[in-house]
Amino acid sequence: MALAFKSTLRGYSAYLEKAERQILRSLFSDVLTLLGGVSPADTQLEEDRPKFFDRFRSRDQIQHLPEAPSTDDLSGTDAAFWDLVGSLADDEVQIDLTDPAVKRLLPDARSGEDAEQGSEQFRQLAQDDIRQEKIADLQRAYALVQTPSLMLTTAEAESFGRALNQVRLVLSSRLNIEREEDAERVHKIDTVDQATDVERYMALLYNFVSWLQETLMQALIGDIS
Amino acid sequence: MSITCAVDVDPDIAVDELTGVTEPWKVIVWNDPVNLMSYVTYVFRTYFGYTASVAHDLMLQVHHQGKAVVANGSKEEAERHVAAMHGFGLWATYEQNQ
Repeated sequence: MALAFKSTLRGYSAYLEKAERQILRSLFSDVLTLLGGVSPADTQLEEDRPKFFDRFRSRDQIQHLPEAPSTDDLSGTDAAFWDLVGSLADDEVQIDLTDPAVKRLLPDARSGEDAEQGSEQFRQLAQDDIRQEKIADLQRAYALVQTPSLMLTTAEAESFGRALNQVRLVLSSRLNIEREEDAERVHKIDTVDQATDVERYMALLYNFVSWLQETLMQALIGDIS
Repeated sequence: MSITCAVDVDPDIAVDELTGVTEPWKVIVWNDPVNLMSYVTYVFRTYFGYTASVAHDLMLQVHHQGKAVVANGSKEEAERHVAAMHGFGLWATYEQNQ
């Protein structure tokens, strides 16, 4: 049971159960792999221990992590899931721009005249810096979910928001969310079982990460003076 | 009673200054069904320093019209802005103003 992000005097707080943090770490790792980055050394996840203030939350701030489909055994589902979510190439800085998810993270930068040539020049100029920043955001996020009770500074919260956004971009690409109707379709998979098991599970994860990012952004926006 | 102003304003130049079309490059943010409205608004407010209403209007323009010009400037400025937008995961491009 996850508790929404909330602005407090000490920072941006949220609560994430171990299973939820494990899933988030897997998703961060997966995007890191796509970008040619590595996950931070595996630090043991702390056990769930709700903090005193976590009890004072209203119901709408609580979200349950979607259960994996129970029809398959878990390992089979996981394997199929990871096959879909990402290719696990181990090359150093080899990124695959023919993968739509990677292209979504590092899109063409130019439009209008000479777009193709200009985009290529921009890649040579800036792509590596942008990639490194994305990797840093994901690694930070990976480390931040070590504890169940999160308490983030503004800079950490912004970085965490960017990392969640990357996860959503990759999942959306795997789920073929290209138009508003697609987003509606995926959003509906909250309860209705209309897709295959793996796709449905991915849609549920997408909705969970979207919910988490939305609560974070609301908390951050409320604090801009 | 009216107050007349002796300063001769060229309306074309005045419009140019308002819309920024004298700047050689523009930065466009394109719509996509993934980026949250709150996230896009937050980026416009914190990165560009736009007010709540300007950021909100630009976000809605992206959402409803498919794209919005969020900045104008030199080529270097446009490159810097687009790199920043890509860092946030927004789908942004830059192109020359006609």
